[in-house]
Amino acid sequence: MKTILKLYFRLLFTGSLVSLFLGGCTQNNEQTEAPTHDRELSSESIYQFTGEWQNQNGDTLQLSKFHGKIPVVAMVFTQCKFACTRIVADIKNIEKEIPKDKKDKVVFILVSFDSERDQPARLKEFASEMQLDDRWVLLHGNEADVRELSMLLNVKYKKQPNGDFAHSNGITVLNTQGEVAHQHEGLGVAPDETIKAIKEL
Amino acid sequence: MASNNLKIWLGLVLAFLSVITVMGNGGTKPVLPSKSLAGMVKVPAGNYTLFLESKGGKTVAIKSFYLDTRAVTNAEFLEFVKANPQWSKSKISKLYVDAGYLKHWASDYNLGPVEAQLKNSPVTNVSWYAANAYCKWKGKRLPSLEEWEYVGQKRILNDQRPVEKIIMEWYSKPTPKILPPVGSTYKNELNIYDLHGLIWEWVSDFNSILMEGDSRSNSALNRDLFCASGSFGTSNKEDYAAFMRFAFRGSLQAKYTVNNLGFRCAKDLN
Repeated sequence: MKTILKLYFRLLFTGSLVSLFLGGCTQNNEQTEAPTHDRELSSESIYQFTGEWQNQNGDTLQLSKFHGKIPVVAMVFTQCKFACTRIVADIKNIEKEIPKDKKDKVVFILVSFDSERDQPARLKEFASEMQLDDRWVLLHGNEADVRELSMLLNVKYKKQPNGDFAHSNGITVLNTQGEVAHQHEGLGVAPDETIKAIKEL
Repeated sequence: MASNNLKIWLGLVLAFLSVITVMGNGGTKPVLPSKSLAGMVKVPAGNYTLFLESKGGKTVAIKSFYLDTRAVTNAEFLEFVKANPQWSKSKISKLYVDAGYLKHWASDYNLGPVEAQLKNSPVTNVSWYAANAYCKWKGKRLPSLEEWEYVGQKRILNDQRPVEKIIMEWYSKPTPKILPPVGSTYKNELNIYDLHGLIWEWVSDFNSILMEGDSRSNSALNRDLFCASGSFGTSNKEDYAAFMRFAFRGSLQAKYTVNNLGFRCAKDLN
């Protein structure tokens, strides 16, 4: 009886070791196969994109951090003389019109094309120059991630020999799942359509 | 008892190691199957005359880089899909591809009855995201538009006709149902194959072409779409083939898949 018990415990023990090991392996596989931590993300959510970004305070984050929020996103670079200031102004016009019940949910995200010059410290300066409060998140990322995000947001851009960027101007609204809910192209577009889209979310 | 203690230790060490492995593999870091540069050549640094340039004659300096001598094949792409099942036809997210993704494959991991012919032909029906993910997985990247055009202008070795003529003849033929194998068309002076005459190829920044759908119009609204881009002329108006490439790239979106659009990878020198 004793030996049987002993054997039983031994088996149990080895079993748990094996499962510990296998458990590690399975987890490992899951990680390599699907780096997205939120498996319940919808198949059109841009939060599947796992690129890493630094905000104006130097904190590292992934876009999925905004899960549950309503992000209003644009791509800019801080040394842009003309269009980028105007696009910030356009977003500020949207900001003014946001209905009270959505105020806690909406965040404004500016992603920089300029991986080289727009480091977090420069983004922080830009935020204060443009008087952007802490509902605004300014993001710095590496060139490959910025390019991939531009694909996801349908933004076209090209780096110029002088270090500036030629780019299309667009504002994208994401829903709480991170899917593109509304998009418009151009500068000086009245905020009405965007506000309407936000109200519906 | 001593052996049980040993097992506990072993267990802890194994558990610890697997946790470390999990952490090490987290995020999007590419898994490098091999660091070798097999199948690549070093492209020397040089100058490239911008095709879309209003003032003409303006050149950009291209740094030296590595480029695959051939486009990625169906067999090679199948290896990638097997190692990364989230890129299989049935599991792929709609964010990254349109409905035509790998439509010429029989199923997730099966090229079907024409496998023998298909395996060495260039993979097509892949989106930019898929091409980008493949190159990342290989520890490489897609070539930039300027890098690709720079290499595309190099002299062709095994054909006497001018490049434009070769390309125009290719354009005039319909895409065959099964594409010829990679390495079967033209080789250039850098020993790079098939840049013209087999497939169109994705480049990392195909969305850097700021042309509008209707570039004849010049309204204030259209100018507002673009920052600092100005109007585009071209450096060589005779080069109809290049016009075609730029127009095609300008019409693409990153999730599009096309039956004669594939890719090859590049790599930085260090």
